[in-house]
Amino acid sequence: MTVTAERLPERQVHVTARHVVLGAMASRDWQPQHHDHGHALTAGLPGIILNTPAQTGWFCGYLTDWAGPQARIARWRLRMIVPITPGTDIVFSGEARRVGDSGGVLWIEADLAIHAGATLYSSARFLAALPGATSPWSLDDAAWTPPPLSGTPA
Amino acid sequence: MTAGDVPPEAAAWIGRVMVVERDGVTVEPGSIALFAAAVEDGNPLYRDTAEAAALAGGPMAPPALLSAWNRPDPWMAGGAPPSRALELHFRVKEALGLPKAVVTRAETELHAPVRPGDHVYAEQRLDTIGPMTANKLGTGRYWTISVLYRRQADDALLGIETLGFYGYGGAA
Repeated sequence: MTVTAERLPERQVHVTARHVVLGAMASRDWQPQHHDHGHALTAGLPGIILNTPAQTGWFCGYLTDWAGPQARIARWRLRMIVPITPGTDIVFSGEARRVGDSGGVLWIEADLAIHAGATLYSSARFLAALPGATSPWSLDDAAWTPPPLSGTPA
Repeated sequence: MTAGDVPPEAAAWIGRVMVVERDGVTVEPGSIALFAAAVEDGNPLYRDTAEAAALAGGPMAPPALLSAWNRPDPWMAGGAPPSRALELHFRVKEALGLPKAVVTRAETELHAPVRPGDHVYAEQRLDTIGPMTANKLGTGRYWTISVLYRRQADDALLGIETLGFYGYGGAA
């Protein structure tokens, strides 16, 4: 697979309370701002909010839907700018570019974003390995040497 | 890195592993499947044993669950009080007198995949505490904690998560 720069297809999700609560529970996050609306309001939040692992999980799935299961995620940096609450229609978008080859794999960085309308809610920069001469999943700990991320997502 | 007005108790923790959390649950397929459903992720590495074996040496957990496996249950039989997830974060909140906090950024690097049957432990290290500042949530401070996740069987490094927080809501 050769990647220079490619825009990922957009994905739309209508966020429900089930997304927020199930995302928190399935990631074993019992903090009340993820399941208790009254507590969230008291804490100054607009409602229950999607937790960090769930946001990350949504981003990871969005990336590997495009890259395929051969892709091995190495690093990510997440910026959560606006809390994501039930009732929000969010859109995932992203662009991936090749940043190097080493150890028989191709390294890509992908800048991913969640918008609602014109507002940026969250962004993330991912580093992942794609198969080159070898599968990234065949690399043991000594051979798995991901380069650093190049910067901060928008 | 720290600001000069940080309480000495908290300042002394910076750069040190303050908490090692060994409680938690065994990585298992049901929990993996539930999270994949929660985020609507159909990656076969999480649900298809044969395809995962062919592609990646076997099934694995979604990387976003790295921090989940040693979070304690919210209730324990016998009335034993559960330990707190990311205990060091709560200690920092208490030491700084900032009872409310939100995650502001998160960075993660992955090493060996987490697989069914693994037990994970976490080393929690306080990296930075910032000066008093203010934003829409109120007056407070930013701080950063790194968590090193390791497999209990052989101490293999599974990943490192660095979390930025903003704490607020302290007494005026």
